[in-house]
Amino acid sequence: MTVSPDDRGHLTQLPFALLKRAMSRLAAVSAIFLSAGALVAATPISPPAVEYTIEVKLDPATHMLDGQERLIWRNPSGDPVSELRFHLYLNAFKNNRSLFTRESGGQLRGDKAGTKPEDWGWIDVLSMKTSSGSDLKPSARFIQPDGYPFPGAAKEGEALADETVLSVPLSSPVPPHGEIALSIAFRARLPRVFARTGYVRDFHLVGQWFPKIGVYEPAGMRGRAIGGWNCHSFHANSEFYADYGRYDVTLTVPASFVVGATGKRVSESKKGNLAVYRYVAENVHDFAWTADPSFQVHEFRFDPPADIPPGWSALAARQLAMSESQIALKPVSVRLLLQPNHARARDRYIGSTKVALSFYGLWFGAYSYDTLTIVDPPDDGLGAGGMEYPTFFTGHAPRLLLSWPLDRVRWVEDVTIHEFGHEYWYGIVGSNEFEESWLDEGINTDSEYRAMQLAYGPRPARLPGGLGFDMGSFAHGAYASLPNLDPIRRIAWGYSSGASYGVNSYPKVGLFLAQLRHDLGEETFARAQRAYFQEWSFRHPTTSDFFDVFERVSGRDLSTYRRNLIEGTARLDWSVISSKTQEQAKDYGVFDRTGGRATFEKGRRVLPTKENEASSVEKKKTYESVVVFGNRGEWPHEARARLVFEDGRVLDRALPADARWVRLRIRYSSKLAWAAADPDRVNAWDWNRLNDSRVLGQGKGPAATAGSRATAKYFAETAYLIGLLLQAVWAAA
Amino acid sequence: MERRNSIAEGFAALGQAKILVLLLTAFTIVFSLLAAAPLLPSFRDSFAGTLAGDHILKNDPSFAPTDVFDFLREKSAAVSGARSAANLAILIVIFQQILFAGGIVSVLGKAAPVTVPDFAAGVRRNAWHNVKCFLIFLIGAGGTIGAWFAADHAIYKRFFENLPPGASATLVFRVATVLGALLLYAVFSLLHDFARAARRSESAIGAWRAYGHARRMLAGRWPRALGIFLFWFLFGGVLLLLAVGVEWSAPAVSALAIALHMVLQIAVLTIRPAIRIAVWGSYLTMYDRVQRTLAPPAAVVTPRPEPLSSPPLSLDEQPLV
Repeated sequence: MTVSPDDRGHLTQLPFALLKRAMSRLAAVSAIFLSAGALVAATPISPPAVEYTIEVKLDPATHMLDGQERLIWRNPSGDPVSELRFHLYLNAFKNNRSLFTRESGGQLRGDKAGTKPEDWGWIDVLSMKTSSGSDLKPSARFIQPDGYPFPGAAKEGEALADETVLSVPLSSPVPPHGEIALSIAFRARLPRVFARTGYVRDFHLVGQWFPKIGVYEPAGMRGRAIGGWNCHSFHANSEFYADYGRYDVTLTVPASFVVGATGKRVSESKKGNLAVYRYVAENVHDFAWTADPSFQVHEFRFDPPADIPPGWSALAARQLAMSESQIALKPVSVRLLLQPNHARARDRYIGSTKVALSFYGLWFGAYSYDTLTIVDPPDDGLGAGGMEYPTFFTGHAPRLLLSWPLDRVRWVEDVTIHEFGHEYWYGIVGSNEFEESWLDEGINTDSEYRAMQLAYGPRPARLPGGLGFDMGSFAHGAYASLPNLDPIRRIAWGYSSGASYGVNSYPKVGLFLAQLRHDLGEETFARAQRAYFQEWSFRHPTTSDFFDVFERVSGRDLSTYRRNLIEGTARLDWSVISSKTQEQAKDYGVFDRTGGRATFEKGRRVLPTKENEASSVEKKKTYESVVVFGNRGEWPHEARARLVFEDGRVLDRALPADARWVRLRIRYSSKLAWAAADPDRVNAWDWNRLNDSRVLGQGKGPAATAGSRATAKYFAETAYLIGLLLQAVWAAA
Repeated sequence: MERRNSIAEGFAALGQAKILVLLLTAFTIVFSLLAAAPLLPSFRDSFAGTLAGDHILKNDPSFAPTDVFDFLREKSAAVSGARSAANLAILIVIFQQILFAGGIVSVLGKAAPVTVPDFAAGVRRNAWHNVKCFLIFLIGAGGTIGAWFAADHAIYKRFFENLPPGASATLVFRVATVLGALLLYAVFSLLHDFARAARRSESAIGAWRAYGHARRMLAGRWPRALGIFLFWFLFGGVLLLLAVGVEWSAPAVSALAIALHMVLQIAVLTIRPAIRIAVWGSYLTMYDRVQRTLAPPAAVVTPRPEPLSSPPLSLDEQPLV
């Protein structure tokens, strides 16, 4: 596989050490280019930090993998490194005492782990030899770098409970910017499908399956003070983080099995009743594969001129202030491995993949690889669905959602676009999902929402009877459904609950980015996000890097967003605190006017004479309307207030960011019909929409609201539905 | 031939017992309104008092969904209240149906017109009998259908669990399971209804004996009885689904359209009572005909007229004290 140049970038081959030094100055260099209006694409590191050559054989009867791995690891730092750390992810499924099982309780992503003997999975490192032939395995030990907060962790004579990180001491350290070559023999058993990986019957989704070295982060990288390993245990609420590298993997499976994998297939051969496939992938940070004899293979090509939806190129170019030729895309070969009973999902997978390739490519940058593999898991293996690996992802097509009345919920499309999106925010931009999951899941959720709404309309998910919802409403509902205990940025297993991890990593970020997009403007936001993608391709950004790019491109201080929305739990909740409208009291008392002193009683002039009574009566009514708007949240941010009077007049006023509350007092010839804060709902971060408005009356034009009718209709509808339920129960009596 | 007649009699019962259809519908509406009542203040506050009602009524593409989610969250206590009230209403409605069956079997299919006092007298007379019949039905049908599903689960685990999803054998097994459960339900339902109908001919029969009587009446006539059940199940089900579909898809934004929509909802709620009365009409027709064949009319014996006054007792006939 080759990495192609992006729209502006060029592949360059720089000496490794030189490039490492250049990396640390990349942001500054980029700033110079960006100030001139250019977007500079980052290039992959060469030679890569890791090179894997793996030969593995699958026994589908026992679901065992026998593998031989040759690894070259290059020390990216100026430190001598005397210990290597490896992820052994499959050991998360080894027993009920692994950190993963304890944290998840055996349930994750709507899936439940099996507890029968054949349901468990594990990986054993059989040997780990250096090029000199010495075996490092005897001195290796399992470690828990994140601790083990559960009782009964270590019993005497037993290994510690979690075996997902292996520490391997080296007799002679790897010198600064030096390298080490290892030959690792391993044996692994896949679990019954659970949490992204495993088997069910003959279907095998082989992910996180080989001894995988952690990331050694030099001082200065991702804000580190000193160099060290970033190699976390496998937690329930976390995905992955790894170095970019080259993978050369040879798979041996029964000849009847259909195989798909990360990267490009470079050869295939038959050995008796076995088939041997070799795949090569460059500039990726993981490798996954699948094997199943029942897959139906559908190959298609993403052809940009034909497949980009009409108007998208022009729209993207306008927002990015670039020409359409500057954001032109390139073809991609796509391979869909479909379950035989999911034929209805075929066109939906294909259509949504083309939507995703178009949207992400046009707005962020062309897809960096030539191939893409989509795996459709079986209905009883959906635990492997909805997962991403470089150039390879799994969809999710439950049969129930393929037919009326749920087919237009567009679940297949949504998952496909989301998982493809990870090719950008996890695959090409190497976010650390252990520590800053929002940089991948969250940014990708926002991208997915935008792609879905651009492709399928304002309400992409629809049910019969006109029901449906837009993605922002779904995100808002999820955000406001939790007690708001955690900030968006938190280590993945540090959230107060699994639900909090989910909301903070996915939909809440969608709201944050929608708010930021409104505040910066669509064009500025689009340019900043593209710059972020381009600059951090094939690198590992942090939250600081995200804000650095956005502040530079927008020219604005965004610290309030970072402090309150990403690092804090501040809410925004502009609301109508109180409202009233009433006829203004007519003048009464003694007034000194140009014609002399006059005395009024209830608007009627009574002194000094009675002759002028008729002309003195105040004929025209005036009304005083008083509305108090308040921000019940903690985040100071501006909003717009709207007052609409019964005669249809509309009055807009600004609610300044620094105001805790604002009182508007209006004297006008008509009563106030309604008042609302943020009537156009541009503040996506607003916590509660139900307190944004207050209806006081009825009128014409914009004042004509239908709330009373809605009350009657939906009360009747509720009673009607209960009535149907009660009559259904008659069957029991 | 008799089945067609029974079904025709079911339709005829609708004309005879319109009052019962209206009564059942009225009870449904009252219970539904009571169960929904906890939500009314919240609807007023949120829908009439804010712009949310406007958004939802007009189905605003991006505002309405958020308003619905926020309503469900902010007014969750009221939603829970309505749910609890609906659960309570379910129990009451079951009891109501148990009682109403006593009135229905007393008045339906008789020569005399159906009146509310006669209906109420039947309800009173058969109340305790019907409660006991219901308990027997609950235990019998619940236990049998529960055992059926337990056996189904065991068979599935043994033979079908490892088949690929969508395998035709699994589909056939699932369909057979559902049809079997429906058949069992139909059998128990028929026994239950015929046991309650037994009070038409034997006003003092006990519940247990009534089930025995029902079993004897249905012996040899099960295909016919099940045919009647199936007809009304399918006919009523399709009719109800169509009506619910029409109601669901009917837009209603203006005040007039909303009023018409409410009328449509009441009309839909009338279907199930009408089907229930028609089913009873068919069953009771069959019951009456079978009853005639089981108990041939006794010979007409003209009783000897009682003397207007007893002859005086002789001294020998003095009663013992």
